[in-house]
Amino acid sequence: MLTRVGEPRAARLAVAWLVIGLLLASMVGVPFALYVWGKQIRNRLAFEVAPFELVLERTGRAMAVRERTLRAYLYEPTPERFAHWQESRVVLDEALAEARRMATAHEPEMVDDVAELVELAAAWEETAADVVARAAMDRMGALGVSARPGPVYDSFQGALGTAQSEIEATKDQLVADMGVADDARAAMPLLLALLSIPVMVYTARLSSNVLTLLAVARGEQQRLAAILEHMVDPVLVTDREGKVTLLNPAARSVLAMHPGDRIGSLGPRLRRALRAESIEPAAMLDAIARADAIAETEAVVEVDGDAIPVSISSAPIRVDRDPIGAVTVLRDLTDRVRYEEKRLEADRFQSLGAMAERIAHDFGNYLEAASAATVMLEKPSAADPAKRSRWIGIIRATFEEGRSVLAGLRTLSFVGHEPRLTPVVLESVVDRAVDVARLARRDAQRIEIERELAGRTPVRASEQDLARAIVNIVVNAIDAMPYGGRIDVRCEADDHRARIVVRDQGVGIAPEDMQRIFDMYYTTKGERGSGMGLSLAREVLRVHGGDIRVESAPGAGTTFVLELPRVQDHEIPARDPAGPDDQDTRMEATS
Amino acid sequence: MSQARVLVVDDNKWIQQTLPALLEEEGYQVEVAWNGEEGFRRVCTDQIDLVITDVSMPEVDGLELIRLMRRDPFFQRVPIIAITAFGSRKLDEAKDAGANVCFSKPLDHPTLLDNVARLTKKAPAP
Repeated sequence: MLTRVGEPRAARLAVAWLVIGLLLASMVGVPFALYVWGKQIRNRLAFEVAPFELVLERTGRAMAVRERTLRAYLYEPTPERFAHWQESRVVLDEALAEARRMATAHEPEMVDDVAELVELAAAWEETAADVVARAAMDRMGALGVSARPGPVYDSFQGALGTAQSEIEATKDQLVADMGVADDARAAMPLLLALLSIPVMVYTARLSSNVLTLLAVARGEQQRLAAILEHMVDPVLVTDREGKVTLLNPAARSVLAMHPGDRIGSLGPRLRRALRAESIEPAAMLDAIARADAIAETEAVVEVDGDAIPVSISSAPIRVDRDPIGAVTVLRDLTDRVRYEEKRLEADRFQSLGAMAERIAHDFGNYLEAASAATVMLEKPSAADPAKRSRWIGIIRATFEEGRSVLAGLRTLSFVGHEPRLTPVVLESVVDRAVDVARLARRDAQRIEIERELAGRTPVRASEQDLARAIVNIVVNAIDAMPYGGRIDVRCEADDHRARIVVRDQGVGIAPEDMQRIFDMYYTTKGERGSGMGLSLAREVLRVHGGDIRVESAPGAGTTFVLELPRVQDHEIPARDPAGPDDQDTRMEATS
Repeated sequence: MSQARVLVVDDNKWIQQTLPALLEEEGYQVEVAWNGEEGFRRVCTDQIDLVITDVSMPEVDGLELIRLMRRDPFFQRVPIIAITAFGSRKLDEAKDAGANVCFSKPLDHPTLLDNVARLTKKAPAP
């Protein structure tokens, strides 16, 4: 949520900071560039333009000296003056050569100007040489107006003036540029500072927004932490390796877990809930470690020796759709289980009432028939032996029926007694119990009972009680198949537990009945059931340290699994203790 | 004087024998039905003066039989004695449905016979 709101702001903030960065860089970079430019201009002025100007000036002066020494020689042709005139040429030639070199090196546009100067100088020299030669020949008198080098000299000075003014223009341009560079350098920081103001304001506003967002996020985080802190149910956050990264105090105290523990370490303390739909704890913890979702799955967790029923929910934590871990909540179901038990208790009372009413109904009918028959025996018509024996027969039959109801009720007296357990072979008990169950139900002829009882699994049991429990389960299976079918009865065992599995192909158990099938007096079989068989069987298994599980669906048959502890082989006596003389022939099926 | 004709409706095989025997001994003519449906058929076809019906029976029970009779103008006035081995709740239901008298099983036979006599208003045969 927060990142979603923050994303565009963060982008704008990044742009603003980029602009600020550019401005700061300009503040340093632009003045520096201006400084470099100014320096270049100064260098050019000092080392190129100014010396060239000087050379041109020197050339002009050298030419003037040349003209003057020529005139002085012509006026009075002495050897000294001739020598002066000759020497002055060296100076002019040097100055011209220098000008040519510098123009070539630094002022390409001046090369032609310099070349013109050189040509004019050459022309002057030629004319001067001519004048000097003629003067020597004519002895001064022949010095006419026509042969003087003056005009060439004027041309030279004119050309020189042009070159000088050109270089002057270059110099002026450079000086102007230098002024621009200096001014810009001075004005730049101010300009940039002015530009920075709006950007800075904008950035400050954005930054304050981001800070507000961060504060909100921190508040959220603290609130979340507070919620987690005060949650009664343990909450665990795990990473993709199934390592606990965050947990609330409830998880710390109830589960004794700490950050860095593996979620798998909960395994030994987690048990499967008794309901058929619960998952194996190991599979559940694996799913959490893989960040798979788990919805409200029941399990039992051991805390300080107590078994606490919990509902485990786990949801993956995703970042851009990739799971980075899981958050797992264990909800304590103790209250709910207690409430359900209370409700079941209430139902039990109801079924107890129904049972009492049914017994009262049966006995009411028996007594009515018997008492009416007794009245009839007192009538004169009872003198007829046929009628007499008819009434006596009815009295006897009602007594017989009452006795069998009582036999069923008597099995209730088992509940609450600790039976005497002796080592027995489970398979032989099961085998005989199946025989008894067949006898107990005449309609069992339509039913095929498949036995897989090859092993010899030692268990400690009250043989009579265990057999009675098995008979009840098998009779139930027979009753569940009114149109015939097959029942599989087999024994399995591992090192610690022995199991009797009874699977039928019958009508199955509706989910709404599943909770109550083990309740005392609860029956779905109407007249045929007393509602005692399964509750008795469960009680028997309980006192044997075992339990009964049932898996069923309407129309899909039912599987009962009776589980009890097995003992070591050497505990069974060599002789099978349950002989045919034993009590099992007196067992009664109470379905 | 013709004998009163009593219909006994009960699903219990012994009561089907003993109750008619008692009534016959008192001089009534007795018909037997095993549930409400058969009972109502007998009411329709035979000339029944009194119905003694059990309340809980398979398929069509005694309560349904009583309601059927009380809705039908022909049988509205036929007296009904309801008997049940269940508790007083069933007796109240039978009373509400329209039974004249209700008794619990086991029955007090003299009281039953007095009521049969009263409701049939026909002196039993000597």
